[in-house]
Amino acid sequence: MSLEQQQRDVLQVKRLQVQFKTRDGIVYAVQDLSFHVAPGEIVGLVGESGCGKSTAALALMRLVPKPGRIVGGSVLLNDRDILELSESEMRSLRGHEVAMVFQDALTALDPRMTVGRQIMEPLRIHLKLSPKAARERAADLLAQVGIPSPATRLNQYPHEFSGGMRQRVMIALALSCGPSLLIADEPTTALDVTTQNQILNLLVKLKDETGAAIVLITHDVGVVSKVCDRVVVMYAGREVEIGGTRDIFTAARHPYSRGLLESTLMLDGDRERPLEAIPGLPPELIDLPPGCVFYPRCKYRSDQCKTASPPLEPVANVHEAACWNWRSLNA
Amino acid sequence: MTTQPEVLSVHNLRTHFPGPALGLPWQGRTTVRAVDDVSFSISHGHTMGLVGESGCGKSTVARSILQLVRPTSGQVLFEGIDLCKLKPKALAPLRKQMQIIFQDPYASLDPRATIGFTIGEGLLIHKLVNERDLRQRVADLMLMVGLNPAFENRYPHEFSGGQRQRVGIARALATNPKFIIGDEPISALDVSIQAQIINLLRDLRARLNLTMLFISHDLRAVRYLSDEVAVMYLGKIVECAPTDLLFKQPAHPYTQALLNSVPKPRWVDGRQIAEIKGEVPSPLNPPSGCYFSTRCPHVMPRCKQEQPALVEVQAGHKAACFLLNDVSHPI
Amino acid sequence: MSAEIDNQPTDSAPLWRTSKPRTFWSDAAHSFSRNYTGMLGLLIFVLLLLAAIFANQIAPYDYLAQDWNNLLKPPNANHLMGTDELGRDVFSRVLMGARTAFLVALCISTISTTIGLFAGALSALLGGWVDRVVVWIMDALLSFPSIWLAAFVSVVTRPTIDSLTSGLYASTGWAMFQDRVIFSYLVVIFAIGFVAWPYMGRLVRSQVLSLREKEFIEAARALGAGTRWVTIRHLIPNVLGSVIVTFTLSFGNAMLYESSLSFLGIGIQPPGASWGRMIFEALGRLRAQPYLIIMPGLTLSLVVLSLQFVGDALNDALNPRSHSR
Repeated sequence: MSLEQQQRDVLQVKRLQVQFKTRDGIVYAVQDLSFHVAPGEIVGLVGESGCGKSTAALALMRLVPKPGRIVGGSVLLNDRDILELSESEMRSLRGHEVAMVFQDALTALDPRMTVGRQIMEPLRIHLKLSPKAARERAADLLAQVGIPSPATRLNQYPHEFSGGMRQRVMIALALSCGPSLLIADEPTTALDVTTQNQILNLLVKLKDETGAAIVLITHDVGVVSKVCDRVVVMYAGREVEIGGTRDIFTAARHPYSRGLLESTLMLDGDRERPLEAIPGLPPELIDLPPGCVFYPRCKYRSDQCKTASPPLEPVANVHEAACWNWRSLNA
Repeated sequence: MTTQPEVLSVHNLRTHFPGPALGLPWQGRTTVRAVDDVSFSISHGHTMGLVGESGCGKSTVARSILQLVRPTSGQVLFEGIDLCKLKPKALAPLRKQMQIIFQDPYASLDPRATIGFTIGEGLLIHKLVNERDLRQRVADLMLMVGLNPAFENRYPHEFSGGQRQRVGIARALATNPKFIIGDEPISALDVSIQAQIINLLRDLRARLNLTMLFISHDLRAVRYLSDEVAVMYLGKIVECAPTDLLFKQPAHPYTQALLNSVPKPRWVDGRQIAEIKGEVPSPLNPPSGCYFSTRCPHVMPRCKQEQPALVEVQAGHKAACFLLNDVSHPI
Repeated sequence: MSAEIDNQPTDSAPLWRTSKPRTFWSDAAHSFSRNYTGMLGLLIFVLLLLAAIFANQIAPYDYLAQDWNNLLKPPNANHLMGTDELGRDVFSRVLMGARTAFLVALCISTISTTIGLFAGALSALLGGWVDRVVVWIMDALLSFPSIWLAAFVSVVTRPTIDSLTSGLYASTGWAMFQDRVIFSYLVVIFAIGFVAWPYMGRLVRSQVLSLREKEFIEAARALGAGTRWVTIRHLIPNVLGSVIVTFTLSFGNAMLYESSLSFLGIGIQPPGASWGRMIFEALGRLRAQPYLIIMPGLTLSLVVLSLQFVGDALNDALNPRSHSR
């Protein structure tokens, strides 16, 4: 990657490590996560529950809950390492340069405050708008995310909105100060399929209009294939594969990514044959296997995998995988 | 295929709930028509898939069949016996022949009961085994669903979601039921675990010769498990067909929209996902005429006035849409 | 052919045969026995309870005996907790006071817990008008200050009690009916027990209501379980934890109650021994002889604290999620 391109990236995450102190010992929820996001790009963080993707998302906002702690690496947001910033500098960044859309809008919004006041808050804090200007801007934002009659809707409370509409409010809130990076943590998981698609289309449309970059955290492989430019696949807190979406979907070089894709339910294909399920369960983070974390469930394992953890290595152009045997996974 | 006897047949099932009160006390209450005139039947060894978005009444259908909610009117014939007419006492012995697997693997297991007790509970209630045989039977069931029998004394919180769902399946199978309802049994699970559970259900169904009603919001899951599929919208069945037929030639605009809303990779058909405009109307206040008319891309004036009936599009394939009346043959 | 097994045991011998069948209750007992603060609390509580029961045997002096040569002596080798202004041994009086405290607390919390449990459970299970009536009664009772009620009952019933006991004494000749104060006090205790139940009632009602909506209850019903089965196998184990914790806390509360009552002069009358009474009588000597207040006060705090330890430990023990293994 050229120096020029590096400088243009909105976000550069390098060897990020997040640690949790538990009763039974120290656990690495995120281990050596590295990726970058260019402006206008949508990068997917994919994995199953407990793989560390949500912790990683919170780490990008420096919001990892106690007893979690970021213990290593760097997070460069527009070339500034946010891990070096003071808490007050960080506060002025959140909701301004980087904003977040959560899975459950009903708990993420304050139930006792009108939607209008919640959207106006960051406008007044970060952009120092007057109450009147903030109100106008808030109405514009609601219109922009496709909420009909925004002026009246501003005076309503979150419970008066449907699930899909609430998620739109969350997006309006996140975009209010024109962030250069939007982190969306499972933004459509709680929604019905038909509403999910409306929200995804909205996110893509808004990204095109504002040029903001998006980090999309999801477990839904179908959603990733639809909207993401690049994908980071996570397993047990590790980054196991990173690359262009199409490369990973058509030529995954890590057995876990491949297993995840194969076990995904499809609308076509032979429905009489059993699904290619990955056997077993993800390991407990407190009790990881000594070598490759995927070793116990892997079809392609060899003796080396049992003892040594494979590093991420290039397998093709801008495509890396952490597997000793990636060559035996033919494309 | 048609010679198989029907295990379950549902005729004109209606389940209505009292809704919120209308303003003043004497105005009475609104009615939520959760299930409104639903009919279908499942023959021995077959699986019927029931698909729809949240709130369409599919779970209420399940609970009405099992009389966990008493239907307002209609018939639920289980091997010829109308369950709706039975008193709780008469119903109890029949319950061992029809079981349900719940969606939420957390809420559906008693946190203060060992999983051994939970699995064997049905056997204890119906006094089907003595103390010694109980442990053997529980161990057999655990092996059957892929759980280690050594875990019989553990509590639900010690298991992952997928393992808990296996417990739920073992519980449902304990009394050797003929008929099983799966109420979104895989929705709460991770992708790779979903595939495991689908394979398990398919395997068990074949081995135990089960008749199933499989409920899901995910067309893809239904496709892997069902012989026939019924699509529900706002308490009504809008289309019903053998699985392959429904996926190849969906007749109802809602089914077509649901199928299109399953995301396909970006390199196949671009970044826009087909979306159905609008949201599911409130069941408290359904639109006049066809319930789907508010969102239908093919809506005609007639759709706003009359409700279309289910008509046979071709042998075994029914749909409720006026578009079809012109081209097809009414029953 | 069986499905794939998670974490299959390495040797083929079936592990489950060797493990003993465990129940919810045996697990709870095991977990409690490993909770050190809980066991410590239980130990203190049991010791104090035994001391109260065998107060007559343990007390070094007669709790009423006055010793004019030893007035207001601070704690020493002869009088572990010193003596009061009449030269009575404070240690013996604290022991006798423990009797009163435990008896009163046991009465109040047993009455209130029993009523609360049944009323709350019935209210939640039956619903409808039963529920509405029970909730209405609970709200009404909770709006009464119970001390005020106790005082009221005590005053109102005194004449009746007086005539009743004197009548009974006249007809039976039993000495116990001579002590009118005790009977009046009993009435007060029962009255408090009857007004204190809504705390338990509300707790049980809300717990049962939320449990009833749980899917695992529906699952049991789908298996064919009747109301009795669901209540015994699912509702009780799930409600019991908080009921027992509330009971232990209410026991401590009732002890504090007894002290306040005696302090206000409603309970045990002089020269009877009660912690609240002892504190009340020593108030004027707070500076000069603080031990007169500290000794009964400390004992009271010790009981209440030990009960809190026991309550916390029970709460953990009755929740499998918190078992350490």
